[in-house]
Amino acid sequence: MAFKIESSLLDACALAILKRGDTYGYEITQEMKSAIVISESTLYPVLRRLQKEGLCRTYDQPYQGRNRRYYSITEKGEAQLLEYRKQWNDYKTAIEKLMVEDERGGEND
Amino acid sequence: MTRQEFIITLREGLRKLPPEEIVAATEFYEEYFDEVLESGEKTEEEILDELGSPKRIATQIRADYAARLLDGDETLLGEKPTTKKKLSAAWWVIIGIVSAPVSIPLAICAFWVLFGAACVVVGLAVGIIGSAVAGLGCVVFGAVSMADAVSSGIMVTGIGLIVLAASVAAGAGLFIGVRAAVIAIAKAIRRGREKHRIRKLAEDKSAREDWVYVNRPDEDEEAFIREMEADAAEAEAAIEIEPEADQMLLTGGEGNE
Repeated sequence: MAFKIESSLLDACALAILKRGDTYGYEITQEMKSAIVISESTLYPVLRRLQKEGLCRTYDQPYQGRNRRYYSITEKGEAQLLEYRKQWNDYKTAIEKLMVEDERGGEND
Repeated sequence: MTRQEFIITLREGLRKLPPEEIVAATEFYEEYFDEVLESGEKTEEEILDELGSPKRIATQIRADYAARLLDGDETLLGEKPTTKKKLSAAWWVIIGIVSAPVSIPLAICAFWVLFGAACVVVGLAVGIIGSAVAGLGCVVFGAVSMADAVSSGIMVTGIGLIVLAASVAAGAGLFIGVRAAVIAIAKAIRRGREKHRIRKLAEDKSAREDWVYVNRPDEDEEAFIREMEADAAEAEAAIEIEPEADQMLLTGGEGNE
C-alpha cells in the first residue's frame, strides 16, 4: 500500500476490534490483516502500548493445555475509541474533500 | 532458524528492558507460534519467514518501549512540572565552580604530561637522527681510512653499519608507536563526540516534545532513557529504509507502466 499506517491509527483499529468483544493476539492479527497490510510483528507493540496505557487489559484462559491471553477493552479504552472515531471522521472528511473535489473541480471548469 | 532460536534472539535483543517486558514479548510470540501451528495454516518455517528477523522485532519493541516511557512521563507531568533538566544543568555549573581548585591544576597537569610526552618523542627522534648521522660518518671514515689501516678501517665501517641499522630500526619503531598513539587518541575523541551527539539528539527530541524529566530520582534511568531514545531514532531510521515494497509500487506505477 502506498500509505504508511501510523501507530495511532493502528491503536484505533485494534481498539475497534476489541470493542466487538474479547479476543486473543492471533485473532486480532488476522482481523487486522484482513483489512490492512501490516507485518506480523507490528501488532505486539500496539497491544502492549494499549495495555500499558490502560486502554485494554489482559487475562489468561487455559486452552488446549496452555494459556491463551485474551485482550479486553477498558472503559478508558472505549472513551479513547470514541475520540479516535471522531478524529478519524474529521480526518477522512478533510482528505476526501481534497482528493475528491479535485476531480469535480476539473469537470466544472 | 528454529522457533527456539527466534525466541532466544528476541530475548537477547530485549535484555536491557525490564524483565516483565521481556516476559510479555516472549509469551506473546510463543503464543503466536502455538496459535498458528494449531490452526494448521502454516509450518514453523513459514511463520519464521513471515515474522522476519527477531533482531528487528526486538528493535521495534525497544523503540516502542522508549516512546511509551516518554509518553508515560508526559501524563505524570500534570500538576507540578519540575524542571530537573534545567536544574541538572545548573548543577553542572556549580560542580564546575566547586571542583575548580582541583580540576584546573588537573588540567594543567594533563597539559604538561602531554607536553612532556611530545618532548620525549622529539628527543628520541633527534637522538635517532644523530646516531644515524654518526653511523654514516663511521662508515665513511672507515672506508677512507681502509687505505691506511685495512683491519681497523673494516672494523669502523662495520660499527658504522651496525649503528646505522639500529637507528633506522629505532626510527621505524618510534614512527609506528607515535602513529598508534595518535590513532588511539583520535578514536577516543571520536567516540566521545559520538556519545555526545547521541545524547544531544535525545535531548533535542525531548525538548521538542516539551518533555521534562519528572520523578526520575535515578541518574541511571536517565541514561537508560537516552539510550532508549537513541534506539528509537535508530529504529525509525531502519523503518524509513524498510518500505521498499511501497516505493516499488510507486516507482513501478510511474516508471514502468
